[in-house]
Formats: sequence, C-alpha cells, structure tokens
Amino acid sequence: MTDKGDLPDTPAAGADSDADAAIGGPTAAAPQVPLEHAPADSVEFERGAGPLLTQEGKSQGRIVWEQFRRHKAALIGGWILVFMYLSAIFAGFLAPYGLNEYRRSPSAAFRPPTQVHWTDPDTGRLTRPFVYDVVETRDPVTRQRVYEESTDVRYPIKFFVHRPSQPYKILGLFKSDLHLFGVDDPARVFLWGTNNLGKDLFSRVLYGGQVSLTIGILAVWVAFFLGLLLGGIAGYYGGLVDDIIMRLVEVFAAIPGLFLLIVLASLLRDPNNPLAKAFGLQMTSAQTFLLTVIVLGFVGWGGLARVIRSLILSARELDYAAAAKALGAGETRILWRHLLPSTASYVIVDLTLSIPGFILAETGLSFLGLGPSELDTASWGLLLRDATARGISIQFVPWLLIPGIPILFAVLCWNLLGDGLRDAFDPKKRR
Amino acid sequence: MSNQRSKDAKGAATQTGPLLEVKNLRKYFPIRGGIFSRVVANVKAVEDVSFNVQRGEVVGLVGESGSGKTTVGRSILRLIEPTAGEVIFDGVDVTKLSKAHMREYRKRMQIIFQDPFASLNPRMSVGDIIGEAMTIHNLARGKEREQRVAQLLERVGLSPSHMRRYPHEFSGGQRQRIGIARALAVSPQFIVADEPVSALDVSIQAQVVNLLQDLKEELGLTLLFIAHDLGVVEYISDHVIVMYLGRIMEIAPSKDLYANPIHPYTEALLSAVPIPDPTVKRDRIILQGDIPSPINPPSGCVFRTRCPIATKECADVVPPLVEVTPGHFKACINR
Repeated sequence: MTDKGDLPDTPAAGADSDADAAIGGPTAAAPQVPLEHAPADSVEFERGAGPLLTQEGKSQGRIVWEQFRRHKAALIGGWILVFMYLSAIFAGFLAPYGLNEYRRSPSAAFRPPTQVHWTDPDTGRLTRPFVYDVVETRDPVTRQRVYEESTDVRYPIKFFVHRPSQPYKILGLFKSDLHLFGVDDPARVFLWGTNNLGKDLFSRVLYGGQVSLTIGILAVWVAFFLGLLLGGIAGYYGGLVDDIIMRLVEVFAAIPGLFLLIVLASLLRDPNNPLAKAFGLQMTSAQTFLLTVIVLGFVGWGGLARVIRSLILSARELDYAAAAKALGAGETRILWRHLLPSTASYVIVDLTLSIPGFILAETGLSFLGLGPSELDTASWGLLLRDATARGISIQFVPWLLIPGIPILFAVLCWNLLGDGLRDAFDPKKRR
Repeated sequence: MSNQRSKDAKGAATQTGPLLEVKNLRKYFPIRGGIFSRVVANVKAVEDVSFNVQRGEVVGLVGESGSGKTTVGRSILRLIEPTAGEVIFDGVDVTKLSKAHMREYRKRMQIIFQDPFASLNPRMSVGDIIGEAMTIHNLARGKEREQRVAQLLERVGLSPSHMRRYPHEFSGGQRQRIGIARALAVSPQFIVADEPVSALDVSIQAQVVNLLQDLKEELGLTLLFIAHDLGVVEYISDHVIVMYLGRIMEIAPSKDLYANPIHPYTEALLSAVPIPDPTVKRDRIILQGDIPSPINPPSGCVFRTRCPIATKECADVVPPLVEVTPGHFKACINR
C-alpha cells in the first residue's frame, strides 16, 4: 500500500469499516512502512543520501559570505571602497604635500597636473620618472596663465622622503613625516594640479576623503540608532507609543530636508550659537563638522524608523514568533532572537545604501558653504567649491573638478556593495 | 476503529474528567477607524464555542475558511487572548493565568502550524529551532540538548545530521516534521495541530497524518486536529466538531458524523469530499454564495442564509447545541 493511496481512499469510506481497517492497519502495525515507501519528498530517500543542497551545515554568516563573493560587482565595489578608506587613513603618507601647504613665492596657483616624465627626452629610453620645474608666464594678449617646463634641470621623483616640515598623524596616533613620494625643491609634483592658492589637489583629495568618507558612516550611525530605537519601540509596543513616534516621524518628514539642513548647519557653525554656549565651548571647525553629522542623522532617521516599525509589526504576526510564544519564550527573547534578526538583513543593506546618500548630502552642504571651514579641513564637496571661486572659468582649470570623481566612485561603490549584500541576505536569491 | 477504541479505554483508566474544556469561548477582533482609533466594529471570529476534549483522544475541528477554527486553536494556547470564555486545561482555567504561570502550561500544550514555510525561523538552524524550548525551560543544555534534538529528529523521521541545516534546505513535508519535533521538544500532553497538512501535497499529507497518529499512540498525546478537509479529519479523529462562522454546528463521534450527519452544513461539507471512484454518483449539495461577513453575522442561525432547509424561524433564535444521540450534538432547529 502506498501513501498516495491512503488519503483519497478515505472519503469514500464514510462508514465503511474496511477502509478504516486498511487505514488503521499500516499505521498501527508498522508505523515506518508508509515512510519507507514514500515518494521523493520522503525522508528515507534523503537520509544518508549525501548533501541535499549544496549548503549543508553552514552557518548563516558563511552562506551570506559565499553568496556575496559570487556577486562580482559588489565585490569590486567593496575592494574599491577598501582601497579608498585605506588611502584616506594613510592620507598623510600618500600625500606628497600637507593639507594646507602652499608656497607664496613663486606662487603655484592654478597649476595644471604636473607632467611626470617616464622616458629620457634625449635617448627616448625608459628612465627613472622625473619632473621639471615649471615657470609661470602670462599670455601677453589674453593674460591667461601659461606654464612652461624649464627643461634644464630634471627633478627625479624620490620615494619615501622625510619632510620634517610636514608631519602628520595616522588615525591620530602614529606620528610621522615620511611621505610616499616627493621631489626636491624648487620643483613640485602636483599630480592633479593646484587650486587658486596653489595647494596640491591630489593631497587635498586624499585628506578630503577622511572627512567625506567618514561623515557618511557617522551620520548613518546617528540615523540608525534613532531609527532602530524608535522604530523598534513603536513596532513592538504599538498603541499610543506607536502613534506618538509615528506622528513625530511625519512632522520630521513634513520639514523640507534641504531647508532643515541649511538652517541647522548655518546655526551650528555660528561660533556664538546657543548649543556652543550651552556647552561653554567655542566650536572648532571639527566640532561644527561633527554637529553637521548629527544634523544629517536627525534628518535621516524617520524613513528607517517607519520601515523597522512595519518590519517588527509584520514579524510579530509570523508563525515562528507565535511558535516561540507557544514554547514559552519571553518578550525579550522573542524580540532579540526572532524579531530583530529578521530585520537585520534589511538594516545592514539599508545602512550600506544610506551611506552614499549621506556622502552626497555632506558634499552638497560643503559645496553650499555650510560644511566645515576650509582652513583646517577639507572635504570633497569643499574642494569642488574651489571650482566655483570668483574669477574662475572652469574650462581653463578643468582639474578642479577632479574631486567629483572620488565622490562618484564612493557613492557608486557603496551602492554596489549594498546591492550585493541585499542579494546575499535574500534567501530567495541564493545561487 | 478498533485501535482507537482500545485507546479510549486506556485513556479512561487514568482520566479524571476531560483534559480540555472550552466554555463559551468568544473572540472578537476590533476594527478601529477614525483619527482616534475608535472601535467601529468587531470581527466576530469565535462566538460562544464550547466543547470538551477527552484525554488521549483526537478531536477534529473542521469548517471552511473563516469559520474561526484557527482562532479557537490559538485562543486555547493564548497565542491570541480570547475576548471571553474559559479554557480549562486539566482543571485549570488557563485564560486567567499570569504570564509566568502560563509558561509552565506551555510545556504541556503545544501547537503545530499550518504553513511550514512561515512557522520556522529562517535564520535559525534546525537544531536551534527544536532545542529552543529546552533552553527556555532549562530542560537540557549543550551535549544533552543536542542528543535530545537528535532523538526528536529521528522520532519524526528525519536524520540527526539535519540538525545543522537551515529550514530553507527542506521540503514542505520535512519542514512540517521539524515543526512537529519542535512541538514535541517540551513533551506536551496536548497539541493543537492547526491544519498541519493543508499546505502539503496529498502524498505528503498521508505521511504527516500517519506520523501524527503514531506519535499520538506512542506518547499518549491528545490532539485537537484542525482541518478544512473532512477526509483528512476522518481517519485520525475520534470526535469531530463542525464550525461555521464562529459557531459550532455539530459535534459527533467521527464514525457517527460521517455515517449520519444531521446538520445541513455537515451534509454539504461531506458531499464536497471528493470520491476517487468515478463510477460512484452522489448528489452534491452545492452551497450558494459565500460565507457571510463575520462583522455582521446573520441573526439567529448563522448558516440560514445558505441553508437549503432554512425557515422563517431560523432568523429568530440561535439554535442551541442539542444532544441527539449520546455524544452527538447538533445546532439546528429543523432537524
């Protein structure tokens, strides 16, 4: 007797005791019999038959990682980000010049990217890379700056040079004055040109990354702390608490974001602002900057709180939450073991995808002049602002747009990474 | 069914009254509206339901979608709080227990869910899913827990090596077995099986029903078996309760119900059960229309709007459950 036969038989049976006996028979006599004869779904079929899927006995984290590894774009994005963050951390070492290093005379203002020569101009053979010093003249007719290489002295590019005048600290801890490369005075190596004050753009982009790349992460933490806390509370407790928090979210959503940012940022960067006074400190640029971060976070938490709330609400109704309750699990256990982990993948992905938004917001703010001051910090937005300085025609100094490239890459790579993580966490997209 | 009868007798030896008594159970889900979230209406999911479950017996609870059978099952376990009524489990009204006391009772009453895809946490390994209850109640830890999980897995027909896998690696039938193992982890006396097979293939249904029946016999379980399919209920149940729109229409010993249905709704349900023999011709009772809204159920007998033998009087009184023959109750004034 096969299992397939079992069930459809019965309805006809009605009061028929033969059918009853037939049904009662196998179960009572030999309980395992139906299982052994069962079709493909059966246990016997799979017991001892090796892996039933490829992911036998792997932890969730490992499965996610293996899925993620197969996502080429995300992997590339991830590596580019690692590279970018490393270069921001080691900006001091990689940058040949200091953040605000410039020469008064002769000025190096608006220098185009320095040409690095790889071949000997006399022999045409490959040689140690070198640069020439540059002489600035003016076009007699247009009064445009013209730079000419003075080809009499070659200045080879030296590696691992100590420049005691330009010390730096890595992560605020390790002090050093060793730079990856540099050239002897009076020549200069400006890989990406200079701005109106003759500051090296390459160095400034590296230093700017420290601000622009971290601000996204910091702001995201502020936003996520608030969003998770308030969204979680609203979703789990519901009722009046839920109503109050959600109305608050709506109030925040009703305020135009850019307007709020501008007002708060301009308020906060005022040295006489009430916040600074309340804490009894004059805000340095870095502190204003930190406040900018908090402002960004405050603007960004509402959407997340909403999503977390609805995720918790729906997860609460899931059968496995009910099963945990039926097993006697307490509220805390249900929330931590069952409800919050169900939002984890969303949170990680949303976190990753929010960072580029905050990077762009910071760039926008800095570009508008509401970010940190130019004197002691740099950010990519601030560097782009150089391109709008008075008396500049961008077609003559196109290299000032270079800071836009790392912005583009950072945002793109964070998005790719987020996409990859989303797919990796989604059990339905497993390959 | 001879084996079931003998079990009844076995149960009777230890029994002191029914294991579970449900008295006048009521569950309304409020519908809120307006800015102040006032209650504008109630979904009357369960209305005045009373029945007993004897020790060691399997009671089938059937009815079409929306008849309130799942709500009854979950109210018994207090997964949803009943609006009114008593659920007396082994002499104690569990609806009045504090949370801490209820935890003790959760070791004795368990549930198997309908949807094997939603009832297992996709982020926990099978071992953790089954072993969670042991951790919660401090029943076993570490190696011992692992051992017991392995035993449970074997008991439900899975391999102990499945412990480290995740739910998504299993088929529907296998997941349902995991769900059963989870329910068994606390060694319960009573299990609500909430449509445990309706999400499964017919071939798998038989396996799972057989498994439940085996477990019931071996462990002396008492089951409330909820289903919308009379065919499935028939051979596992000792008694069958037929519900419609939150009310009980008929309660009868399983055999009696199938041989001699009294309520016109039961008749209609039975006539809808497919017969695999094409030569058998049977008159089908096709019910007209859909199940009415539980927000505004019909007055009097809730079934009267679709009942083939309804009369004027049906609208006036709610028909009481009347015992026709011993153990056979019906709620119909025309039969």
